Amino acid sequence: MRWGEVVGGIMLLLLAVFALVQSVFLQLWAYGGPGPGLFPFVLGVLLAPMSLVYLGSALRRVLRDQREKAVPTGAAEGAEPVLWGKVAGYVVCMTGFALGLNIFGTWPTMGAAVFLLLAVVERTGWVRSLVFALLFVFCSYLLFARFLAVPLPSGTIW
Amino acid sequence: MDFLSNMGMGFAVSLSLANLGWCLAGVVIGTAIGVLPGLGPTATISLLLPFTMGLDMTSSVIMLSGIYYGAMYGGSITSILVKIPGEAASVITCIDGYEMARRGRAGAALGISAFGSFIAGIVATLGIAMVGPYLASVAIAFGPAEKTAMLVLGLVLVVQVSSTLHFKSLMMILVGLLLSSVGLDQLSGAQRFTYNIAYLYDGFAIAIMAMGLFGIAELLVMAEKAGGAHQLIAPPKGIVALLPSRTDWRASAGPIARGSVVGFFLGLFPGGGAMIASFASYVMEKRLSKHPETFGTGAIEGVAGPESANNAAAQAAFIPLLCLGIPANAVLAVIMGALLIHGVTPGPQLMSSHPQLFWGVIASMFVGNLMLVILNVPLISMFVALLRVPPALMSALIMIFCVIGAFSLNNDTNDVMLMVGLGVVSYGLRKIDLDPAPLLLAFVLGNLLERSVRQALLLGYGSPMIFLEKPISAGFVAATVLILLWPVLRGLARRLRASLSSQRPT
Repeated sequence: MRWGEVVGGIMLLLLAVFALVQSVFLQLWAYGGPGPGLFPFVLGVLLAPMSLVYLGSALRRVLRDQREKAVPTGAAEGAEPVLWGKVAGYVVCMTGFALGLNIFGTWPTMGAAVFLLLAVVERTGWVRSLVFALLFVFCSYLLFARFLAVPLPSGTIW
Repeated sequence: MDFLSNMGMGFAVSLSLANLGWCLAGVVIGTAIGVLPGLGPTATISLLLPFTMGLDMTSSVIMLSGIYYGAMYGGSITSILVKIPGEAASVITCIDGYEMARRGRAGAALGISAFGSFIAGIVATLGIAMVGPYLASVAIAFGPAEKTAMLVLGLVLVVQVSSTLHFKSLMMILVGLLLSSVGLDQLSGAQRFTYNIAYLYDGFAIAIMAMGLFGIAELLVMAEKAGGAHQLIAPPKGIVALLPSRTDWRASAGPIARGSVVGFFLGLFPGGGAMIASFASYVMEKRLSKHPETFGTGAIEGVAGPESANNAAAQAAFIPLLCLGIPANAVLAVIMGALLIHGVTPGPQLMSSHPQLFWGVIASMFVGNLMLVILNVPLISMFVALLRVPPALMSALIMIFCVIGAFSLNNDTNDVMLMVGLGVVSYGLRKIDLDPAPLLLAFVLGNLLERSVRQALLLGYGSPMIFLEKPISAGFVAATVLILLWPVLRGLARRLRASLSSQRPT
């Protein structure tokens, strides 16, 4: 995760610089007292050098690893492998679930998202995934729509 | 007399049928998530936050706090039977609890853990009821300068015990404070970082932040691992098997008493928390024991002390939240979020402005602890059965709760998208060892801190010296500086000692 730390450091630095620049436009001091920009400005001033130090140390570690051709932590022997495909699958399912709510309606979108999550991402088996998707939709309908009376959107399907 | 009448009012609130039901729901859910490794109370409370918005605020806090201390009970079950801590605070229980279970004494271990937690819970609740009003009466005199200094000290204390390096936690605090400044400025009404996007005018919702940073991130962490079956020691059958013997009670009485006291005092400090309390209690019991060599081989003192300490600390942590408005950890930050959503700002005024809430929640802790010990003893087998639910199904359920919960806040798909985005960011932060807990804490406290800072500066005619002119505020500032510089001072002292010893003639 050495490169991840570098990316994280860059993002933090960008955030700090962004806060610094934008807060100056917001007035740091107004009418004899602190303006709306003062608080984010101070935070940016504090975060910028800290993120620089963090980025610097992350870069140093990357260079050291490359020099020594060392195996980075996390990829070491015996460490549990990270299933990136599954993680991406979850994000896609949740995003699709969110986007489909207003278009197709809550229950068909929920069924499809759960089915895809179980069948494609988790490889639970098509029939079992279908059964569980239908069961979850039914139970969620009872819990959210009937018991908790949460107003959920209807769409083109249901 | 005041104490008794206040507690009477609290019991009247907490013993209403509705509040009894929400308390029961809270402790059952809490125990269940405590049993399940991975899904902690922070994630669960975050996920349930939107659904509690329709409740009365007292019921909502009663249920959420029930989840919190219920998780402490549940966490010990998996520590003892599977050697997997369901909760960070139960890590230490794995050592002797699992050894006891392996030697056929699972019943005694589970029993003493439940009874110890119950006793500690009652001690801590009494402590809250007695200490809370005094602390609040002192804190009520605090002006903006004192409040600012106290909030900063609270955040710095949280940093000291964060799971990652202090430097990284400090960065996360700054990010959290920055995120809290998005939206309309509370004093001048100016738009900050909104860029005419109407969605950003009110800033980021606490519930969405909590669900994204903890709920979604937890789900992604669960997804990245291939699920495996747990090696489970069969839970004891029948209530009699769970009752500790007279010898067990004799050995555990001291550790339970000491664990309750240590846990209570450590829980009072922001950042103190249940995990540190359980470790402190274990170390203390081992030092005090006449047979320290038995620790690690199934000593009942190694279960009784830490389990009592973590429950006492979990409940004592409500004091800084309810009396000072400082959440001691991420779970309490989410509970504070629930109060803020209901329009209640926790702090010294809470006791006088919402006495039913304050005393109702405290009395509900008595009731909740009683429910836990009555329920947990016969229902241990049921909770253990949760470990057999395939992780894929659990993940699908969490996904449904996250999406529906986030959407139901404002009937807005943008909330769901933001939550997923924050979840991905939080997952990324965890991958590079940056803890999102200080970020959430700072986010929750951000508006309060900014308002106090600006009010203090206005009162001081723009001079930051106002923070040093008032004795209480100056004391807090001095403590903050000392804590921040402590590692440097310690390093200097070590170097000085080393150089002195090398100069000494041999």
